[in-house]
Amino acid sequence: MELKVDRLTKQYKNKIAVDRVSMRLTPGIYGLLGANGAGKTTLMRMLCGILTPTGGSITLNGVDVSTEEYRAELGYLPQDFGYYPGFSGWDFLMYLAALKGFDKKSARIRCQELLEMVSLTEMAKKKIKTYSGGMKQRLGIAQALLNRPKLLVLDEPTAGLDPKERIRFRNLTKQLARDSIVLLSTHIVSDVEQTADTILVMKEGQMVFQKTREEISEALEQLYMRVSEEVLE
Amino acid sequence: MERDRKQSIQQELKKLYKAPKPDGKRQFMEQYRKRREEQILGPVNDGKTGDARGRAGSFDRKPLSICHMMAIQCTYLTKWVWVVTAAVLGISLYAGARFQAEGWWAACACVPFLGMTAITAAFRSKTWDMAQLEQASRFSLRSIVAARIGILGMGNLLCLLVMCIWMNTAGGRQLLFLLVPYLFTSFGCLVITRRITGREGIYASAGVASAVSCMEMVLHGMFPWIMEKEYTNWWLAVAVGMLVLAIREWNRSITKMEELSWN
Repeated sequence: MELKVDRLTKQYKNKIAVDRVSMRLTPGIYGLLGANGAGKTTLMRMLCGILTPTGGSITLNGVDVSTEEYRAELGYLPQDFGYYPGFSGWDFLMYLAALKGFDKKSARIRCQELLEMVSLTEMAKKKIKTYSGGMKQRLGIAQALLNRPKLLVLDEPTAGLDPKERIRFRNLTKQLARDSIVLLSTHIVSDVEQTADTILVMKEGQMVFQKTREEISEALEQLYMRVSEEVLE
Repeated sequence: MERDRKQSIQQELKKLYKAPKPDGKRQFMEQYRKRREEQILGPVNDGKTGDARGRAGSFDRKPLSICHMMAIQCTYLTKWVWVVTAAVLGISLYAGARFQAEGWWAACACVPFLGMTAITAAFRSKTWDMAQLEQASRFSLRSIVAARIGILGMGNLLCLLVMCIWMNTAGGRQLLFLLVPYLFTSFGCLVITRRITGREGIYASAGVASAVSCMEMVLHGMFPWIMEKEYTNWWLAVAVGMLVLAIREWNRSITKMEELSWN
């Protein structure tokens, strides 16, 4: 399995949000780092087919991002997401399961499994507006896993999670990465440090660094600072 | 008696033989959880015969039809759509039966709220910040919104026809009298939902519907002659104009969808 990104570009009038990014990703965890406005979220949204690139291409096993076949293999956790008023955690998952092509019976089983996994079974029938930030985030993680994605794109996945949940989430991502491509963007360097097999750093829309953990000898925080400064110079 | 005796024996036995502390419970639970997680996160097969463990919980990877999506959207339409539709229809039918020709104006004044609910419900993904999640599903957001507006538009048209048939007071012109405020509100709400996000968009749309509704009543009270037969062509021209404007605004809203989520 391979995600191929070729000279991917997104331009908004005078601003180039993503500038000719090329990469080839195989199963594993990829930690995407970069300052605010570096283009991480735009890149992720293009990988999820939410934004149309100005140029370049994205394919998963040769299947283009704009196709339904590609989306069937995709799981996405946005940085911020909402919910329809009156939705319970259960309704939220069932609705998204229906949009992902589950029939009702299968959706029920899958939703139960995932709610159990993110420890929200008891809260399932409660309205989402009563959930804490961490619970909402766990629900977001659950919806991203509904279709057992081969490409999982996570934008700030650990935001709002307590330390215990954060560790649990790291373990889950490791498990997922055996068969899937997991791309996670975060500001929490320790999350990336402990899970990611490959580190990607973006700056001003460009992919300025891409190395595996084995190739990196220094601490990630130091490396990140060094790479950012190098580019500035 | 017998029950009490059994209970007292049970209590005595509990006192005599204390249950040993669970041995390796934590390890067992940890192992169970790991195995369960592996099962939940594990790979899926081709999707035709259930999942990798031969159970349900998998999904069909074949392309999904537009009918499938319309059925989903129909199930998840907000209850307010049904409440408002039922209220508008109920008020109109009641007014028609009670006040005959005069009741017609009550129907015309209610119709803008149908348009308002249709537009706000169709574009609610953006209002409630669900757009990104829906866009990352099997369907594009455009097709989801189109499916919603298709369902609501057909429902509303059916309502308008029922009203026309029920209050057969002005020949074929009555449909025009209903369509003009409906299209005018739809156009206004489309402009608002495109520009204003969040709940404020709903409130502003409700304001537009109320304004159109009031305008209808004022027109009826101050200029009743505009309903005369000789002005039918004017009504037709306004209806066509509104339809063109609404379609143009619809296209703009749909085109803008690709960019809506960029910060």
